Amino acid sequence: MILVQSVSKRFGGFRALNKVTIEIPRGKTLVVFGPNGAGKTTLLRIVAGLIRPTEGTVFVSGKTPMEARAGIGYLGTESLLYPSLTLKENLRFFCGLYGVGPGEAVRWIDQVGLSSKSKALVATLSRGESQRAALARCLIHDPDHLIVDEPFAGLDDASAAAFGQLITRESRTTIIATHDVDRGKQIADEIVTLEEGRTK
Amino acid sequence: MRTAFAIAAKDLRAEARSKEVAPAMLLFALALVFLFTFALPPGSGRAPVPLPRAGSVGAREIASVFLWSSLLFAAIVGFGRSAALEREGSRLDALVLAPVDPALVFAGKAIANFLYLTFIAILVFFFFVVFIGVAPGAILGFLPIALMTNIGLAVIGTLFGTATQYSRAKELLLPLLIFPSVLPPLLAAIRLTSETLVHGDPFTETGWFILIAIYDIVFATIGAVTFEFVIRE
Amino acid sequence: MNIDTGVRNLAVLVAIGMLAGLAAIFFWVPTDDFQGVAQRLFYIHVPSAWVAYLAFAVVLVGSIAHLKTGSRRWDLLADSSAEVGVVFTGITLVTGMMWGRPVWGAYWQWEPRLTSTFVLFVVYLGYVVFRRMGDPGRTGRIAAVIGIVGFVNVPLVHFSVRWWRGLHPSGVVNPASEANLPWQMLVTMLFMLGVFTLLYALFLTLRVRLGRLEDRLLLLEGR
Ligand SMILES: Nc1ncnc2c1ncn2[C@@H]1O[C@H](COP(=O)(O)OP(=O)(O)OP(=O)(O)O)[C@@H](O)[C@H]1O
Ligand SMILES: [Mg+2]
Repeated sequence: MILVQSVSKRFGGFRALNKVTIEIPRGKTLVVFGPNGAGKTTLLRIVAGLIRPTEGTVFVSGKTPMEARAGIGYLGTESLLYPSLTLKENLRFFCGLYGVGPGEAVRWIDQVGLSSKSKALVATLSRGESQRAALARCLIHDPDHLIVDEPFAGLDDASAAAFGQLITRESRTTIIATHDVDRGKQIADEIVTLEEGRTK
Repeated sequence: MRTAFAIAAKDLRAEARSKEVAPAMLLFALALVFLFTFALPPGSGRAPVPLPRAGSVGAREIASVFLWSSLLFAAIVGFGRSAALEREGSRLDALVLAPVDPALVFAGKAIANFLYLTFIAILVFFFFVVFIGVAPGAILGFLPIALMTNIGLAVIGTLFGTATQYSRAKELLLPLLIFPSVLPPLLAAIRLTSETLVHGDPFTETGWFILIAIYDIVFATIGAVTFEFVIRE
Repeated sequence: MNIDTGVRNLAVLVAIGMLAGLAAIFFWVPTDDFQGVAQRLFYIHVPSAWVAYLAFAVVLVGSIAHLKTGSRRWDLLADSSAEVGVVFTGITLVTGMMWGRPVWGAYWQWEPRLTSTFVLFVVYLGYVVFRRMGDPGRTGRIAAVIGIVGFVNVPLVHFSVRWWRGLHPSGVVNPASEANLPWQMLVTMLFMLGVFTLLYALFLTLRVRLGRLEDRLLLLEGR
């Protein structure tokens, strides 16, 4: 369960979010639409605990995002992987940070269909491959809460469909920001549209 | 603590492949040492130099100032690069998001920086052996000094290296913040190193070692406690 | 009494005090037997140094409080105090050099106090630069870390420089420990310390108010 209570975020004088309130029941998937600059990424980063709201509060399973971070997976606009390490080394490192067995690294590389690339340096991955690798990173601890920002960017149709499958699972609360209206509507339990920092 | 070592190991492995930090440090240090050698008479590290006249300094004191200045410059280059590697592509976010104590992230980064520095220090020392004629055996005295001093340098370098990544003026700010902050251990290291070069033994002045130890403990603690505020918003 | 009258009264008080102090420095206090006229600089130098250290101590307090509470008020207090502190550190260094030239025969001596002051100047200059060029979301907290490190370092710098110099005595004249100061000197010094402390309070108040106005302006400009 994710609770966003009248959250505002200012960057200097600019109001990127204006009193946004959202409630996502446990296990449901919320899709966030909105034009460029609407505040989608800002909202997602606040829910993930990367930036703090100027006003308002966020609860993830009753805790602050920072307290709940062991149970949150975040996929941002960047892969957050180290380019000069191989895919497998990267994921093993994150297994260590999240306290899950190193076997999970191999398992998730398979799941996102990158088995053949597991010994490749992350720097050499293509855009879509790197997006899949990033997905493997954010799912590695099988989080109960998943926050993904434009997951379909750079993916071909088949991969995007497979992606939708991987992201959603039973009892996982998910927020997805996307410009892909069709695919978004398909996986959404609820839909929110942001415009100039407000929900519509 | 295992997390800290994992982070340090990750840094070292990435460095072994991409070689983005240590070679730059080394090149910088060696270029400085090379220039400094022109200021010193040949053999000034080995030949018995007459006691310095009152108010003047001996060649060995100058040598130890040179040694530590080249290490300091190299350190600043290295700290900036190693912090930038983590900051590029917002990768620090991944460490903020992971359920690990920021103090351990700090420790991990500091350990990596410490190892780079120590590696460079040893190489630079042998450069002094070759070009200035410092006795090779003096490494026994130099090593404990370098190990202790590098702890403090790595701690401050990690803290400020990361902090300045969040600024538009990082190239200006990093040296501006580091120079004054590391003055105490640097003075101690210079004094102890010149003792080593003169008497072959740094342990005659334990007071300076205590000063470095206090510095290391104080700033390692401050760094571990405050790193959270640097990397988290 | 509203704030404006309070500030105005403080300003008037400082102005009168400053004039009286200057009059005392130039016309009333006797000239020092050893250092001559240059010693009169001390009535500016010492109070500036005092205000500088006071200001940075306030930065330390504000920084710790900001990290603990996350409140913008403490942050603004630390920021404001740092700026005032840098100015007074600058005055301290310049007057110290002006005094050192005739008395020491050199503008600069690597003497513990001067060195500590210089180190403070550089660190807090970095602090102020960081404030202006930092990522807005984090500037306050990172600046607080810089403020804490900078202040904690001072005793270590002081100690290490003194120790370093202890092996090469440089015959520094220690102005504060001269016995048998004429009483006029003592009175003038204490008076100027008071005036400078009030001056600090005035600058700090003005700077904090300016900061508040800037914050409000930012809010009004935004959408
Ligand atoms: N760190 C920042 N400093 C200043 N302004 C920012 C910052 N981050 C975001 N903004 C502004 O906030 C607004 C919302 O940005 P955000 O990235 O949330 O948009 P978005 O909905 O994700 O857009 P897109 O569809 O292009 O990804 C934008 O106008 C952006 O310029
Ligand atoms: Mg976005």
